[in-house]
Amino acid sequence: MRRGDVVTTLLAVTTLALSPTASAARVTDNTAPVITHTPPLSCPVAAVSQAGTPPCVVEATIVDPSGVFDPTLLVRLRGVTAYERVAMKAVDGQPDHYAATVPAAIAGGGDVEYLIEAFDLQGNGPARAGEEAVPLVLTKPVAPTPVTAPVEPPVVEEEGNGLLLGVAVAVGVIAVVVIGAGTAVAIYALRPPAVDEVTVSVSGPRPFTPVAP
Amino acid sequence: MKRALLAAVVLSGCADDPAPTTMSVAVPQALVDCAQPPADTDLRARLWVSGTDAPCPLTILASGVSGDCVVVPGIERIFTLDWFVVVDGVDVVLAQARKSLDLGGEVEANVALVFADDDYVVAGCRDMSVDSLDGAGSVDVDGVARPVCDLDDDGTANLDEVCAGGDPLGRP
Repeated sequence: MRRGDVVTTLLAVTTLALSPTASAARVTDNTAPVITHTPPLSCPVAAVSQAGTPPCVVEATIVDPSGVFDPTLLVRLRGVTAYERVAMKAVDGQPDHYAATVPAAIAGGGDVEYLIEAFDLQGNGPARAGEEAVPLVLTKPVAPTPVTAPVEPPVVEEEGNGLLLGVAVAVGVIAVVVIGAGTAVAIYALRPPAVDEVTVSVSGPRPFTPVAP
Repeated sequence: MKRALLAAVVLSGCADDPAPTTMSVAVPQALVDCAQPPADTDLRARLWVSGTDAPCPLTILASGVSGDCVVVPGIERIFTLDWFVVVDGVDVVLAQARKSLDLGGEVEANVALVFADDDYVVAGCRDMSVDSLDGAGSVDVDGVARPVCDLDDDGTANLDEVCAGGDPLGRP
């Protein structure tokens, strides 16, 4: 059954009499989404507002008859090995149009390398614009003017019994520390790092047992 | 011989479809006794993963099969394990097993996928080369659509014919 030798019948429809209309109408989709993307020349040149770094947005048109699943921007600074994954969101009012903002820490740090990938709802994919080994490049991005954000003091509330509540939020970590009346309880909720790929270790027995002739 | 049962299930048509449909259902089975098993040098195994075009090659061991396949998470994946031999350039699927793994949530970087004896079928196999999700029930051999696990369409599974020393392609 080499592919070159076999022309597979695509009309492999198992017709169940109990659901004749549903089973016969199914359309096979075994192709990944189509990504159309024109790389921008650089991140936008814009004045830095007090809100932070100007947005560096990557956009693409992604089309699939089964629907697009998990469109993602993989982005990194040139020279960095690992990509950061940023979910691409559908753009309101523009069908099949998705966009993601390059994290400010990357956009402001130098040349940006990226690729776009997406699956469809059938599991086909990933389709990619750019490759991990040969990513697309945003050259000469505008380095943001450093913005010194005022340091927000931790929220502190004192109640009648001396309860002190402090909430600290860091990247991926939420720590809630409650101290009161001689009792200290610390709860750490750690979000595990995102997994870009999974190694599936497969094992199985032989489907037959040799017997003595 | 512990042999797979083929149950012919005749489903009566519903009111708006008077024509009854016959569907063969392969019952998962345990190991099949094999008088003339193929040599390990001829035996091959591969794992199809939904959403990918090419199968992941697996290693044949004395005890069975083993291998590591890298999969992009984010969605439920269907894994289809084929045991096959190549006869006259044709992949002859001897047994097949399918399982799904939900990789849509937060998943570990390493996941074990273990197939058991009863996961295998030797009839009702799917050709995953054209559709890695659902596969196709037949393949063309010499211009004729044939069941994947009964390539000469004689009612005897490829595995049984190979183990009996016969030609699974039924060629003269």
